[in-house]
Amino acid sequence: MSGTDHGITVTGVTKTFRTWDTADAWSIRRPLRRRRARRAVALADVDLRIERGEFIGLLGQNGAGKSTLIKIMTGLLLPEEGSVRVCGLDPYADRERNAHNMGVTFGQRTQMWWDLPARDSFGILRDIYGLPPTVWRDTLTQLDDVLALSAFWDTPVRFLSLGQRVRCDLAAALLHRPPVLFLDEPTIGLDVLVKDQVRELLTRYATTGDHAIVLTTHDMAEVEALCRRIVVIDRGRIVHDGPREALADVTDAEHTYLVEFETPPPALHLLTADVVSGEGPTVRVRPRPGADRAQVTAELLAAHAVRSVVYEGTRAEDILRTLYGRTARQSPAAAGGGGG
Amino acid sequence: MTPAVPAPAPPAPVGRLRLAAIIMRAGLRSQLANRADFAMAVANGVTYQITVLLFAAVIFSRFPALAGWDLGEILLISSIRMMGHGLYMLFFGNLGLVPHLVREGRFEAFRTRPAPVLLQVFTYEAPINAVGDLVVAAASFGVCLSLLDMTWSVAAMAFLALAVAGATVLELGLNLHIAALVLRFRGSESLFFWLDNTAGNFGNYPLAVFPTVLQAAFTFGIPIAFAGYYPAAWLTGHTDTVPFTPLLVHLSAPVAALVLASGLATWRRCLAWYSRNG
Repeated sequence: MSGTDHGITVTGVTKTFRTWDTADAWSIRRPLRRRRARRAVALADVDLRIERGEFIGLLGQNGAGKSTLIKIMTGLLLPEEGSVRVCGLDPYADRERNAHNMGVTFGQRTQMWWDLPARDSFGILRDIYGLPPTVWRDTLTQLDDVLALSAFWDTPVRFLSLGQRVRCDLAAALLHRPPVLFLDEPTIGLDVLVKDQVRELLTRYATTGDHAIVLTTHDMAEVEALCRRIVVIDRGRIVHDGPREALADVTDAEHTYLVEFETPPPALHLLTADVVSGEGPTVRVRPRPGADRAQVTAELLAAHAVRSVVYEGTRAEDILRTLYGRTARQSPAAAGGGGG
Repeated sequence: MTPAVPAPAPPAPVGRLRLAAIIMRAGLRSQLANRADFAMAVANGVTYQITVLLFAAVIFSRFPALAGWDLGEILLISSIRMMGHGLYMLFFGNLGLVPHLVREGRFEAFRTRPAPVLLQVFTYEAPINAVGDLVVAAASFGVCLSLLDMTWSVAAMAFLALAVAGATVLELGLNLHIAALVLRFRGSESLFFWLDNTAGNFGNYPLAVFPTVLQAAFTFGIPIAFAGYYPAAWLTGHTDTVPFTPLLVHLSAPVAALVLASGLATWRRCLAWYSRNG
């Protein structure tokens, strides 16, 4: 079995959606006019390969094509061009077999049976996936240890709080021990304690090296905490695919240091950095090419009495802001993403 | 954390029937947990069908016989239709929830599980309303049988059972078409109510009381006449009075099978369209 038999391979996937010109939707002449249709590009020639043991963050603005890509990888949507393989299977043509291999969460939309207690839903899923009772019981116990499900799993799902429901949904997605996980905004709207529980669980899964995990989220703290590899999608194209640390190189995002001196410093002439701005004791400097953090910090400390130094500009959130802004400037007239 | 396990083989068809029973039982248990909800759901089914019967009773009080059919014979038409409808609601009534499931995103979840999508729709929640429908249908049958002066041979009883099953399958087939259309055109969900009302308003009477255009519509277009009228015509000896051809009284089961096959094909086609367009 090759490596990709355990992971996800997306090859040359293109997807467009037909949209209608609604400019004259309420015109009295509309019945006599043929509305103009156009194709909005949701994904354009997307290639992606995710191996077992990888935990990737799939990022992008609203409408960039993330959800369309997730739907295609889970077999919910058919691409117009290209192919997808999940654990060696076509997720659309082999829908039922593929479902055994993947776990999916859809943000706040629950997959549980609304009127049943969560534990009954877990029991039904055991039967749907044909899990041996011992495997099911062991997995449920392990999930309960992290997510503290037993406190409320006898309550009908419709009476659960959002946090409780999301935890149940996550457990439902993991119950059959799938090698591939698609997590679409798994912590949206949750309080910090529940977020911590979910992150702890996902970290445990990531450390087994046994799963290919795709996380889509707008929560950059989550990405920084969980994902080593980041894929950024914008207007249906992958604009970055690599280690999180490499994202800064792609964007040329400003790496800056915010320095708080004890008193306003004299004019600073540094060998390792340029002064970007200054106001009283607060100065922002940008390191020169080749200068590392230690060199810049040492020179700042030597220049004047320093109260604090904050390293700015490499947070994923800042980098993405730069990246989105750049792509928007590069192709303002490009066809908008039809996907979500 | 637990390692991933290799995918087991898909369950056999027998396993799927068992699965349906498990989900339905769990749903029923949850509905029974709240007795007030349960009672209200049953009452809803009873109220709706009793309203239909009351309307029919008012007509019969004015016209004791319609197109040569007396009260007991007409009640047989509505009893077959209502029993078929009750069984449809019991086993397949959740089809009417497809618009809701699509809107709520639950339909997507069904497609990520290793079980047939339709099975998951059918078993999504316990159809308590159906209990009310079946209670009224059984009562209607009881009254009808007491009024009818006929001998129930084995063949007649078998024909009656087949007619009820045919009515169930026919309603399933027609509703499958609508559920499929909902996937393709979001605005078509009101067709569920339209079909239910049409069957309730027109399906309980001898076809001869309607103008020819409606006779043709309910025979060849939306064939609800096969869900009550045609089989009742054979059972009550009215075969020679049916419109078009007397052969139609024997065709309930084949017509139901045909409508079901067409409904399933439409469902598959629209599901494929939904997968291409989202």
